[in-house]
Amino acid sequence: MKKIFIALTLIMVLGFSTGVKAQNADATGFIKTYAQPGGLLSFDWIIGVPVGTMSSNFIDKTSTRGFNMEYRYLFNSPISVGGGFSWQGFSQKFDRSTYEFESGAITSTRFNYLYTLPLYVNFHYYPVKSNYIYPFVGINVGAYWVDKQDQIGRYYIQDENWQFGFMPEVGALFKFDPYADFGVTVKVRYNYILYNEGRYNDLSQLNIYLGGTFVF
Amino acid sequence: MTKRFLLASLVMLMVVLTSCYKQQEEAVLTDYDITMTNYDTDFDFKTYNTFTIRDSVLIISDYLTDAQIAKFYKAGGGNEKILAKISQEFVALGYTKVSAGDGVDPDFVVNPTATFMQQTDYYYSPGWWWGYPGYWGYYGYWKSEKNTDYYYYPWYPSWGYSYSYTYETATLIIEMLNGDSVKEYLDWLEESGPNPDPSDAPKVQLNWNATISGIASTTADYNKSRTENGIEEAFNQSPYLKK
Repeated sequence: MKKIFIALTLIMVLGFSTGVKAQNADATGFIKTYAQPGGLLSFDWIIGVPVGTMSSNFIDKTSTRGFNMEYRYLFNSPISVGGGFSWQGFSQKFDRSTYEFESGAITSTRFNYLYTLPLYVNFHYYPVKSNYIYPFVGINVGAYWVDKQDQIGRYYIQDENWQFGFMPEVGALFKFDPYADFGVTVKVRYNYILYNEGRYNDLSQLNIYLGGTFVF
Repeated sequence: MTKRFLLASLVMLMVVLTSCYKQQEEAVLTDYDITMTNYDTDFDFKTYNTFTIRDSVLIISDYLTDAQIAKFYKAGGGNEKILAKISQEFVALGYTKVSAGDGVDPDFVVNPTATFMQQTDYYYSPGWWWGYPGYWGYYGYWKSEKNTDYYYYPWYPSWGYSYSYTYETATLIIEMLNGDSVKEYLDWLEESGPNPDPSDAPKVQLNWNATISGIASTTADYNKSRTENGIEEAFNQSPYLKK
């Protein structure tokens, strides 16, 4: 909690501090600090809510353990291309109970774990030209390192491999000071991992990203 | 700008990295206790009436001392308690216990075996990424006995460290064997002399078995109650075992 507080304080301080005021407003009052060629670098904290077969068959507990780092390059049009990586950890403990199988049963405590590390490329479109709020829609596509563990008692089955996945996304960058080179980002991504084994058609989550973005 | 930017990036990166190390769910020793049963799905357990139980629990161990084994077999020790508990469960299901002196061939024979084995597992920590080994607790992060590969990530740096640790398991196996097939086997054993050829041995018919397994603690009473609980769980799992 303390770490989150420090991070938030840092975001607020940077967000309100005034950067280099190199740009002047154009005739329409728009300050060209954002929608001009350049880079955006974001760091995010991820809150993950499992959905679909991941939620019904594996883990339905919300994860607050995740981070994301990404870069976007803005062309001189409302489009950006970039890439990034993130890490997320999901886990859940199931109280001791009995599970039946074809010729018997087993009684123990179950623990499920899922760790993912997506490496992705992204494409975004920015429909609104504004000095304070820059909403965007986008898609992230990539390869995911997936580490999935089903544990019963002290035994577990671990499945580690690469999977393909994609994340449609909506979000916005908020700049409290249009001249600052820093803003706060809020994003929502539907994370769909093509994992089709056993009882799973997919491993998917609705992920909420809260973070800071450097504009340069 | 560049300096502040770099510093801020670094601080934020550290904050997020340290917040997200791999973490185990909290667990107590009993969470690792397993009770498992298997049975012959084609067999009708109502055809059985009488049973007998071996006079002692067979021990297979690689860590128990002679004194500990002697304590297990002494009057009022673990051996007697386990035999009594298992008998009590079968009697409660409606089966009748017979002894060798009764002149009755039992329909089934209960064969309890206890194994006490030491397991060595490996723990690997890359050092900077997943936090401190102490965080994962004493029981840490182990592989099943079936898979001895230690845990790794493809990108872990070579300057991490690893260590191994040992824990002691205790497993009770209860077998329910067809009485006639056991008799046939014992007769064959008697007839075939001092050096029997195992390939000629008649097959003993297994109808049901239970495996109760856990990590041994140093507290005897705790181990005892976990064993008894495991025996109860095994019978609760098997509603078809009814006279």
